[in-house]
Amino acid sequence: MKDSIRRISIAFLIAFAVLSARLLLVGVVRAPYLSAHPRNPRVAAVRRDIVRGGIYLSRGEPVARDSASGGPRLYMGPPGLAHLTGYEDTRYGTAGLEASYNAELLGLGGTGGGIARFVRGLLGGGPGRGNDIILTVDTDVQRVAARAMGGRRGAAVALDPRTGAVLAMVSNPGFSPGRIASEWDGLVKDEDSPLFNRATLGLYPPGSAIKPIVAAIALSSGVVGPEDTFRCEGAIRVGTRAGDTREVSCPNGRAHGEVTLAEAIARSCNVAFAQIGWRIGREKLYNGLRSFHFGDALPFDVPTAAGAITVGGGGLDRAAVAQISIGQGTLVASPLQMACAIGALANGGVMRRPYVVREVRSPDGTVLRRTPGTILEVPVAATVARRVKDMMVEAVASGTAQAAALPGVRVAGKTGTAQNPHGAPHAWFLGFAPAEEPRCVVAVVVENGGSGGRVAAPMAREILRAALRDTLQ
Amino acid sequence: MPSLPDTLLATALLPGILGIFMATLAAGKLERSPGWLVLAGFSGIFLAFHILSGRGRRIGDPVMFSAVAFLSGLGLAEVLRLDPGLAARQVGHLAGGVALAWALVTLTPDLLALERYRFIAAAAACALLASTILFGVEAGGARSWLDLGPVAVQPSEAAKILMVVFYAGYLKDTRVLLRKSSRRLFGVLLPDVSYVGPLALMWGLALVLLVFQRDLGAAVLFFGVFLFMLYAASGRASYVLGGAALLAAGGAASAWLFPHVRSRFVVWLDPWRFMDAAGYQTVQSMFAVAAGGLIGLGPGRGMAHVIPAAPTDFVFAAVCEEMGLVGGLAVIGAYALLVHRGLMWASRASDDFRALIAAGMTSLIGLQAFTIVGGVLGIVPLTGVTLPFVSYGGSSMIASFAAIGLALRAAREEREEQEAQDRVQDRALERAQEREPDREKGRVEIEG
Repeated sequence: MKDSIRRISIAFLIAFAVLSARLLLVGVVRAPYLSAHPRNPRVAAVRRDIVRGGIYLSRGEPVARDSASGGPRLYMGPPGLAHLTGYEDTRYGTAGLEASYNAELLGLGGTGGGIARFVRGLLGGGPGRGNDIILTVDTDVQRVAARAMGGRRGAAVALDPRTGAVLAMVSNPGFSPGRIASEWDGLVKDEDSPLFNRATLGLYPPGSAIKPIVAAIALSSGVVGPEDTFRCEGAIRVGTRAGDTREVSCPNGRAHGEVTLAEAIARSCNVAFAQIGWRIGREKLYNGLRSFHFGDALPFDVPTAAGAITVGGGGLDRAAVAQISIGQGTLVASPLQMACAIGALANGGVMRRPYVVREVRSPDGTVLRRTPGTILEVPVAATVARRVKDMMVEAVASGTAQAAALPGVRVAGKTGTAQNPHGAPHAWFLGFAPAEEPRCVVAVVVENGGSGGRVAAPMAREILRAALRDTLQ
Repeated sequence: MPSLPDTLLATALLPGILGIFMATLAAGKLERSPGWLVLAGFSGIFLAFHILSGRGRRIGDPVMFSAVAFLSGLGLAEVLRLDPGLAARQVGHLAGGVALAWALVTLTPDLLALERYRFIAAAAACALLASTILFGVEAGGARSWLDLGPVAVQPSEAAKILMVVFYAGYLKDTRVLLRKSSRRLFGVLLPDVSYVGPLALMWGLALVLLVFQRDLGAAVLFFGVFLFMLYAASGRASYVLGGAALLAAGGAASAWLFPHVRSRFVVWLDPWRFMDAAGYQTVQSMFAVAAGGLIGLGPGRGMAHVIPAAPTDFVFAAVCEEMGLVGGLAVIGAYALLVHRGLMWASRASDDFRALIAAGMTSLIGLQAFTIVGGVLGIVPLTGVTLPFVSYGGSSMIASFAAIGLALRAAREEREEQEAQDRVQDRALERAQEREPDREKGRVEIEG
């Protein structure tokens, strides 16, 4: 009987250990989520007697804070930032950073606040204060980006490729977070979806803007050498079956002749890229794009969309591979995804995790949490990244992206003019500068804006100019 | 000089006293607060018990009892904070429970005397359960209450204890017989009728509880403790696995037949889908647990009162919110300690009945604690059982103290027997040493 009782004892100890583990799971791991859950009655109770923390830009400029008189929350950020900061309203809930950092802003879910709050309660002290969050957004870059976008539908993202820190993020059309309650009905009915964050959730075919990525995959897999040439006669048949007349063509059917990979990027030759895609092959192209996190929701401080890539169905669909290689067909991506992917090429093949919240600070200014810059992926080797970068420099120097050039600094870039079923093509520009040691990556998309080179490239140039203002003067 | 039992009990009472004090402060209206009465009652009950049991010398195991005192204190603090009116009554339950435990440990002649009443205990347990089936009233979906005018009692609580007494007696009787069973059919070990008989009976009883009282928790406890004791007596895992399979089958069948049981399972699988209806309690208790942080918000500072049945079934969530992970882990740790000590005494016992009483009573408390804490944390389907010594409830409090009283009685008998043996050995040793000097002298002489 001794042995069996001892085994029962061990079984109980295991059972209680499991309970403890579960308690820690709920009380520690899931606590931030649970404590900020909109249906948690504590959230509403805390909100009533707490000064919600503020949101500040990189140099301390306030974007959102509670009013001293206890009125509605005040928003005073630079234009175009509404989607990122989001809003907080008793009736319409929270969105953006106001939603994802709700627990921090309310000072909930921490492990240190309990006894302090208890003592404060005993002393009958004033209302508590939530924590502040400090963003990486640069006011000047943000202002310039918003001005450059003007009234056009689309999005712009600027980030530091070395860290992943977001310098500016604009989604157009926007809204006023402070007037969310009074303008709600109009906002939700608006056909242009002004509440929708196009920068992180908008999915667009990238068009030719994908070509630097495809070029990097081609170089990385060793199927294309720098001397290899591709014949462009203005169009190429991509259908496999007899009678399938689908083809990929260059704008206006213009024949580029024999082009190298570098020339294909500089002159944005679709016919060459269809052949490059075939040479890479369906499998490697798919895996290469996945390694740049296409088809993945990027980890970020506000929700992001995954986008999609499907390279062919069951068999080896040559047409689909060709389409994907020129950023059409089934490939769609968000501006943030494009910025991060190009950021990897700018940063020697190292893709950083994007982030916009630099730190969380307690009301007395103590830094509670600082976001560490983390590496998301290393999709290609540094040598490959450098060669593609040189091609993108050439595209700005003498190719289709010349409108992005800045005096006194070498800019790398690629335009895109993406066909889509909603009318005129989307205008894209992706670029970074200074090419030698990139400090800013820009992704701009203008919905139905037309030519990427004419519409998006000048906007990107202004954003880069603002980001590099220290070195340009 | 404070003895070890003094220190143990004082340490165990401290968190409860502090908690009751903080709950009293948080409630305000200090001059007319019932908190002071609760504080005085709580301290007085345990002080009296301690003095009356010879400062811990006669309680069998001061460690086990200190764990109980710790749990009672935290429970009382939370009940006071959730409902001051209930706390005053809970002090009464506590006084009754402690008195009962004291009487069982110090006044009863011998556990072996109890053994003679095993069949009466079984009959009484069945009668109690039958009374609820016939005259029971419903509360919380289960019909397990008897309305006796001023008080409502839960006869199944007393029946639990009586059944453990019966199991212990029955399993002691049949133990030798049962271990020998080794008839085989096609190479498979056949269970003996003397095992299968009561196993089937208990399974039937559990199902009756489920069907007529719709009391999932009581069914699990009755049958679960039986399986533990069966395993302790036989050492045969196959019977326990078979029994667990039967319980699972019974549970599945009743989930299929009764919407009341089915909803428990469905909610357990995904409480968030039903957060406005049947899953409300579970979701709210998750919120409460998450709110506590490391050391909790302090009694009276949380919002655990929004959970329905917070002082009874969900008191653990309230403890976690207001006393933090530290409090929650300490509660789990106290049960682990209590069960570990109880089973330790059981494994040392020289008599089978004593061993089975100690094992059964501690398993009962341990299983009940696991069932409700696991339910609150969403590991197992939620069943409406109380957290022993912590939850509000008279029947449950008295029954838990009866269980611990009998376990402590077994520990005390074991300890005293051990001490008597030690004395015999000591005396033998002394006698041996009395002869020793001669030999020493002899050796010296030789060396000289």
